[in-house]
Amino acid sequence: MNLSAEAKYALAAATGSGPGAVDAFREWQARVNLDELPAGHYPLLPLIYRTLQRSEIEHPWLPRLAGIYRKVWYANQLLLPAVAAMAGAMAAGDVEALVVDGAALAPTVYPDPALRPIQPPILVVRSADADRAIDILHSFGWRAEPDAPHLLSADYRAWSHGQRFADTDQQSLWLGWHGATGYPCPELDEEMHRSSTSIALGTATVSAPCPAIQLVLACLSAGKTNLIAFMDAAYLIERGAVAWPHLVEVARRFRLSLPVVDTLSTLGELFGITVPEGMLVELRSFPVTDQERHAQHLATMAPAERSLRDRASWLSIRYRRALACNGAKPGVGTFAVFLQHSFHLASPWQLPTAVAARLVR
Amino acid sequence: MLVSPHQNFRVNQPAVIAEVIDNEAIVVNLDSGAYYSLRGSACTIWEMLAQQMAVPAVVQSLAQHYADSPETIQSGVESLVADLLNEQLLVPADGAPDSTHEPALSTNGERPPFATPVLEKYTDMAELLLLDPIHDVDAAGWPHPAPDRQ
Repeated sequence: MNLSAEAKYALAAATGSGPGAVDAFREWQARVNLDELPAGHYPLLPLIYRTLQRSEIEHPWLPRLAGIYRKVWYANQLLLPAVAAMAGAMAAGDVEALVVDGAALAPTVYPDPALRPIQPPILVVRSADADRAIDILHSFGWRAEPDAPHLLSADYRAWSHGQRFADTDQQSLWLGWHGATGYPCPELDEEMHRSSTSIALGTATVSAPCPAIQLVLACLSAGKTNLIAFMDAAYLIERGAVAWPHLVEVARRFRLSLPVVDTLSTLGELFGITVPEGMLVELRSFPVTDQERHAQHLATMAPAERSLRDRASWLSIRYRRALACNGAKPGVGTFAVFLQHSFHLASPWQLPTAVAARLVR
Repeated sequence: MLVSPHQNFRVNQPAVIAEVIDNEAIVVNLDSGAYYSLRGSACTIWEMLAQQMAVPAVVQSLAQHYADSPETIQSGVESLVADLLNEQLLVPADGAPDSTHEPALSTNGERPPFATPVLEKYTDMAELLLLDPIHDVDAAGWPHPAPDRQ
């Protein structure tokens, strides 16, 4: 993966091990402006703060980095019980909700839950359970953000992967009906639910994807604007008790070997993190088409780097993946509906204005 | 709040959780969302109280470290304990006071003056969560808002 020099230094500073991390911090801070950080760097700041704290070095950024750590600690302390309560409420309503991403990883594989921002925490339910899950969220005071009825309709859900909710205290929560954001796939969702495991969130026990699936999800989302996913993957490999044969089987069955290999190779190059012998060889042996290579290239790019052609190509890939998921037939009509829901519009008649506004931007 | 002088306390878990970072105790009441900060002597006192040391033992330890009179230190400790009890961050403990913990105070020559311990309190959870820890804070960092945000 072609990460920028500052992204590599940020990740190396975030690992916090030895003098190399402090050197990486110095290189990183010389290249970036804390007031205008590149996309994807902010979630690494609690880890970078820990590097400085351990090294006992003084730096003008230290008070603000300490403040970021304090804020993440505070926010996570409030969010994790809220997530556990909502997962419990859904279980009581016979809806299996999986806690995924940061909310599952911060308290389990990170050395300290305050090192991993989890805003917003993510709960994933089966697509068929989404209506009941939304009703349960409503009954606890959570509202869709923005609060628009069309964002909760079955039509919208057929083309989207989830919806953000907020409560009156400005806390947010993401309710997903597909586990892998860029790869909506009912069979992968079912595999995620089938192989789920129990984790402790404070005093509560909730369901979460097994470490192998968590690692696949981290590999799928790792990219130039999602650097924390590299740290998620690194900690899962180090502390997550990943069942590697299961990971390889999931990658083979759902044709995900390319993003998995891409992320694991990057971790090896950057941090020397190794996976059990033979796993990368096996993952690399699975067939990959040119189209899949192109899709992976686009998926890991920062949106700002994409040319107009790249953006059109990426839109087309997302459209085809949505069709494969919801079974709709390709055509002008379904493409318009796809665009409508991608832009969160209430009506297809708003499309011309929305498209024009995006082209101008 | 009247408290027996030999009473010891415990952190009001599970409603209250705390962590000490860089000589600052940060405490949150999960029921209300209120955030508290104890720095300097307040942090030291919090650590001792959280280890279930009774007030006289805390005062005795501090008196060996600070230049001020035991009476001054006792007044500061009792005032902080009253605040912590009022905020329900500490509650009376059932067991006997813990006398096994040695206070973690450095004594390298001169004894510094005892700064009155202060419990800083932030109650607006929504404001705290919205406060940008890079752009909206003063030199001390989050949760201290920049002057133009106050």
